[in-house]
Amino acid sequence: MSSTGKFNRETLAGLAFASPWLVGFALLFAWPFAISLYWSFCHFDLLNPPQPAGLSNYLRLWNELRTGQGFGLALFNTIYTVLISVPLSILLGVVLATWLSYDVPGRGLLRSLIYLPAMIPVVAASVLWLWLLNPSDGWVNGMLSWIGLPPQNWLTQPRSALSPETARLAIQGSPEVAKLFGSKDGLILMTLWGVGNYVVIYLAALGDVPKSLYEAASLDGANAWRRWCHVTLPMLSPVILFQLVVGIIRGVQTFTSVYLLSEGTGQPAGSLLTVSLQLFLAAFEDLQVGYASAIAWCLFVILAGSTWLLFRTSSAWVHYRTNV
Amino acid sequence: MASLPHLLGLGSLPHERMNSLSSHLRNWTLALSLLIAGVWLLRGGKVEQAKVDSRTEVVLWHFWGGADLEVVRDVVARFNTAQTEYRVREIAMPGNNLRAKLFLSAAGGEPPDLINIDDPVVADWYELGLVSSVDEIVSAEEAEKISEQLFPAARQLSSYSGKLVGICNGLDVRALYFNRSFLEQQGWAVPKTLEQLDQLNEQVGKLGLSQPRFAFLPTPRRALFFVNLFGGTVWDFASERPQLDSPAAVASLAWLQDYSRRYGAGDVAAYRQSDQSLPGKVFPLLPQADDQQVGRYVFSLDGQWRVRDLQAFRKQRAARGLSSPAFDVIPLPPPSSILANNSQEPGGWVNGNVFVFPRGGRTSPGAIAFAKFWIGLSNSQTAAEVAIAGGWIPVTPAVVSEAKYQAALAADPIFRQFVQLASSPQLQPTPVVRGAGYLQRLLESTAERVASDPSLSPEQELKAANRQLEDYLQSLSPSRTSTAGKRGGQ
Repeated sequence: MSSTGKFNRETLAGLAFASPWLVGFALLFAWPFAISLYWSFCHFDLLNPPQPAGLSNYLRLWNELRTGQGFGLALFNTIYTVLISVPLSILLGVVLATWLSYDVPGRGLLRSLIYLPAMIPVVAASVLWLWLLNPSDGWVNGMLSWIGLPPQNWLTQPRSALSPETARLAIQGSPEVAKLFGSKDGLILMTLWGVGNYVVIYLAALGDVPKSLYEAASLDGANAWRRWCHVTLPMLSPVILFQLVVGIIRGVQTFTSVYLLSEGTGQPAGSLLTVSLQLFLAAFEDLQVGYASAIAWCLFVILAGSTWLLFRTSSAWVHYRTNV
Repeated sequence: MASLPHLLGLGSLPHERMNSLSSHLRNWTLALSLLIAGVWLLRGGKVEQAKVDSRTEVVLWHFWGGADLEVVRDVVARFNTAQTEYRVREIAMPGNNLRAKLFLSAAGGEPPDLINIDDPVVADWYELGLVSSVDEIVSAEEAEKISEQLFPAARQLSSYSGKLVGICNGLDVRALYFNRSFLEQQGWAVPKTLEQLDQLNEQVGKLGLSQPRFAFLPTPRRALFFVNLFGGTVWDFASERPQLDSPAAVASLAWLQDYSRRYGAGDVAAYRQSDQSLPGKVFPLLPQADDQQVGRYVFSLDGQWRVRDLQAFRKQRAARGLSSPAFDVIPLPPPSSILANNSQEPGGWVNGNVFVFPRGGRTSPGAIAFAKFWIGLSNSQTAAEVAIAGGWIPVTPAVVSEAKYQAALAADPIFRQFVQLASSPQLQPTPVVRGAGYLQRLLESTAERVASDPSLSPEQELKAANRQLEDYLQSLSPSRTSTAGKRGGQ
């Protein structure tokens, strides 16, 4: 038998074995991906055939971006939460992983405890946090009071800690500024609770750092801090890049917790209206699937753009180990 | 090139093992095929199942649970006993699932025959062609007759573009519950105007209690109620345009905002949020401890279903040998300016449950028969008994007039107030128009934003919201608009 015939037969067999995945990919990913682009240029209500509508969905998005309403508000809320929660998660993850990489007492137990929240289903975690963040009898405010800090309106206040309104109140010296944290900050706090996922990956990466690098740095007179800055961090940088990319994508796609914390509406005052929730409401509450598809494509472009940007800039700060 | 068995790590296995694996694979494939065939056969057999007892099956989807579910099952059982032609099968589903499943079932060509909803979506669903108007199922005369027998609020909730597009089966009326004992103990009069109610907040504040800190707190989620209370509306039916920025809407949001200005936006929001943390989300008007005679508020705007809570509270207290404070209910008093110009009953917001009839249902006439049975058009006495059991407000005066219902009302003066309010033409539902759900969400969100930030101008915020709503309405598909025109002219 010729090698080409054998190759073809083996290729076909391989494709046949892979066909469940290929069919699933084509039907559940590639086709919806392509058709949603078409729908984004249509008026489509799920029940009647899509009607071409030109750029009207995108013009509406642009208009909402301009006025800061609807999609504009949702995008702002999403960017706020992602820009704060992702770097904080990475920072906390790296710090915790570094700490747990040392021979601290009860290390195994601590590792389990830190990873445990990541195993709790997001619905259960959201309900738990609704209670933890309750302004009057939630544990978070209880702890703040215990250390002498004023209680916060975690899920009831639309104004967030880093916002022009808070800055204005601070300049005016208003007592209201003591209520610093709002609903988005509450969501960020909840996100940080699941940092165990990050810690596990950083721990694995830390275990992979060659001991010889630390020894060489020590011989050169580097103290623990400098070793961490100049050995550990550069060696972790590929993993940090990965976590940054994945964290941004996950953060933008966050839906379940936002839906539960805001009772499915993005309240209070639209402060928890994220892009994924806006997309859901447009598609399944208002039956504007064309508009929702346009949101999805904008989201895709934003994510693709930010990922590209991260990879483009990574050469300046990510250190890939080379075998010499 | 390595062969596939090698790649899969099977190449090194002995032949006997390979044969055994192949045999297992065959068995599994056979079992899986049988399972798929079984599921396929079961699916095909469903149509036959509907005619098991020779009556046509009417499938009802609803969201009721708990005590209400028992009452719903009782209505269904009564209907099935009385019927020779139709038999209802009720399916309870959680609220959020119900809507998504309806869309999928309609897109798949197999919707239920009847569905109960309480969101302002009737007009949108009708425009989408998702549900039929009643006169598409029964004669126009009969549809008109059904419409005439409903209370005004029930008729409004069921009507769109001059047609009955659903049948309202129960009204949800909100009124102001209050702790009469506490008021009398303090020597305070029952408020007749909104200003007097606000004044009571100041007086409660002077008592310096941790609970109640407020006599009453309005919630932005009832913004539509307050707009109506201030004598306005959010939709101009003459021009068919939204008017979220009407003077009444601006005044009502300014009133809401005033609470934040006086007591601090954060404190108001935190106090209100804590209502939700009460055990089992109990009625915040009720005292929480045995030694208390007042709850978190002296006044609370809530629906008729709280009457059950009051009854249960009294019973629990009596069982422990404790006295219970006296509670009462009044319509939320309007602002004095409105009261001076209007001798009628105060305005407010009303909601209700509406039966809608999905297009493509197998037996829409059966669904109409059940809806008529439920609201008492075919047997008002049965409907009265069911309404008493469920603590529901009937949608027709005929059921309210039933001797049994009147006896129940006489025994419960608080519930009687709700039933009297239900017949008021001053109560307005969320306008039954396209985009009503979006309108309601937008108004509530704007009210929440204004209430949480005293520096915002209610007028500017409402104008912006109105523009956003206009944009949304313009973005609705032209095909839907033209369809609407066609249907409206039918």
